Amino acid sequence: MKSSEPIHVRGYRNGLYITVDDSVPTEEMGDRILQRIASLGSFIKGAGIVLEVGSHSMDDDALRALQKRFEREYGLRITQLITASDQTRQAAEILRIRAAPTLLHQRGINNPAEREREPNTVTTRHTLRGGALERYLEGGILVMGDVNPGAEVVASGDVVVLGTVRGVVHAGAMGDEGAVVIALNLNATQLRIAEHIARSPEGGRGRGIRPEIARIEGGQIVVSDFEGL
Amino acid sequence: MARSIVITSGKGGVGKTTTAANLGTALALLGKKVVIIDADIGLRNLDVVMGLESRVVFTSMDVIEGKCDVGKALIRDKRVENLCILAAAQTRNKTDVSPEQMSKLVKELEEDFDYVLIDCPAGIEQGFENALAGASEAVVVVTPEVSSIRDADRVIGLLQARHMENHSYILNRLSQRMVDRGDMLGRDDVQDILAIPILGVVPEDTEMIASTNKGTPLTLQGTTPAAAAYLRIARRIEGDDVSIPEFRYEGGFARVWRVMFGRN
Repeated sequence: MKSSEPIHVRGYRNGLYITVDDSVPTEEMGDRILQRIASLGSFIKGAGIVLEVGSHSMDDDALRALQKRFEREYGLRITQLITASDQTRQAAEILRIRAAPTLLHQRGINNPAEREREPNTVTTRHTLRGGALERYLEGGILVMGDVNPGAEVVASGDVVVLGTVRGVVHAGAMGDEGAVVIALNLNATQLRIAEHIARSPEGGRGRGIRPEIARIEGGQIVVSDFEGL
Repeated sequence: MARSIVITSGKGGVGKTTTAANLGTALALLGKKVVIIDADIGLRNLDVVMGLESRVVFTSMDVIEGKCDVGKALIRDKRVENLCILAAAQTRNKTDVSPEQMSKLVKELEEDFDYVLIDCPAGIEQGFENALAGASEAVVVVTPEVSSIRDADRVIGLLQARHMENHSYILNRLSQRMVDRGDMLGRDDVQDILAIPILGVVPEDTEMIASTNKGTPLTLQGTTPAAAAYLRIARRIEGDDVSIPEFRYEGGFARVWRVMFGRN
C-alpha cells in the first residue's frame, strides 16, 4: 500500500528511512521530500536519515545542495545513501556520506510485513534527565526510571515509563493514533500522541503513585487510571 | 590518597564559589591540607570571596603555560593552616586551557594536598569540561528553585555520561520558613527529581552575604547555621556519620536561646 507512494517515509531507529521512487524527477526530489517531512512535525529535528534514491543520478553539487536544505530546514543529516547509480555513489564519497546499493546492517527493514508482526521496543534502563532525548521511530520505548523536566521521549509506538514523567513524551510520532502512554506517575510537561498535544494541568497533579494511561479518545488526549488495556 | 572534587551546578549564582570557599575552609579546620582552584577563567571570584584578591600575583594560567611553578602561584590563607587557593586568570578565556592541561595541574596538586577542590564556572561548555577533567568526584550545588534543579539535573546527566559515578549534591539556601508556608520546594521535592545522594543542606543565612562581601568565609567566623552546616558537610566528606538536621524556622524565643547559649 504505502510503498506505492512516490516518496515513502518510515521510522528507522532514531531517524527516518526515506525511499524515493524512480518516477519522481530528480530535480524535484528535494522539494517533494521536504513537503512530506513537513507533515510529520517538529519532533524529527536533528534526526539522521537513510535516503534510498534508486537509480536517481546526482553529482556532488546536487547532493550537497540537497544535504544543505535538509540541514537548514530540519537539522536533518543524511547518514546513509542507498543508490544503484555509480555517479550518486561517487558524489556521496566526496561528501563522506556512507553509500551502498543496499542498506548496511539490515534488520528486516525492507520487509514491512515482518516488522508489523514483530514490533520492536527499546529499553532505557535509567532515568532520563534534563536535556536527554530518547527517540525511536521503529516501535515503542520502555523507560525504567523517570523522565525528568527538560527530557524528551519520542516513539512511533507506545511509551511506557516505570517511574514519573515530568518531561515531554510523544507516542505515535509517525502518526499512529492508537499509540498510548503509560506511566506509574504521569505528570508530563507536555504529552503528545500522533498529532495531538495536551499540556499538564496547572499546579501539577500530586505525588502519589497511581499508574495512568493516556490515549486518544474522540479526537483528543484523555488520561485515566490504568486498569489494563 | 588525595581527593579531587569539582563543585558544579550548571546554573550561575547558586553558591558554587561560596560553597567551595566554605567547604575548603571547613576541611582545613578539620586539619586537612586543602587547595581550592578557581576554574572560572575570565570571571574569577574565589580570591574575592576569600579576601585574598590583593595577593594574587600568578594564576593557574601562568602555571599551565610554564611561566612559574605551581608552588609559586599558590596563595596561602593565613587565617587557617593548610588552606591555599589557586586563582584564575582574569584576562584570559576558558578556551585558553584544555582539559588535558587542567587534569595535569590537578594531578600535580594532588601530590601535596589531601583535597583539591575545583570551583567550576556556570554553564556546561568548555569551562565545565575543563573543571571536570581532573576531578574524580563531583558535588552539585542546587538551590530550591525550579530553574536551579532543572540545570542540576542536566549536569548530573552529563556527569553520569562521563562516568563520574561519585557524585552528590548540596541543597543550598533552604528557607524552612518558606517551605512551611508552601512557597519553596522542600528537601523531598528536590530529592524526588535529582535522585542522587544528598551531601548536606545549607540553610538560608543572611550572614553569608555579609561574609562574602567582607572576604571572610563564614565558616571561619563561628557558629551561624550556614557555617555549622558546612562544617557538618566537611565531616561527612571525611566519612563521619553526621546526620542532616531538620531546619526549623526560628521564631523569637528559639533565636534568643541560640544567641544566648550559642546552640544550634
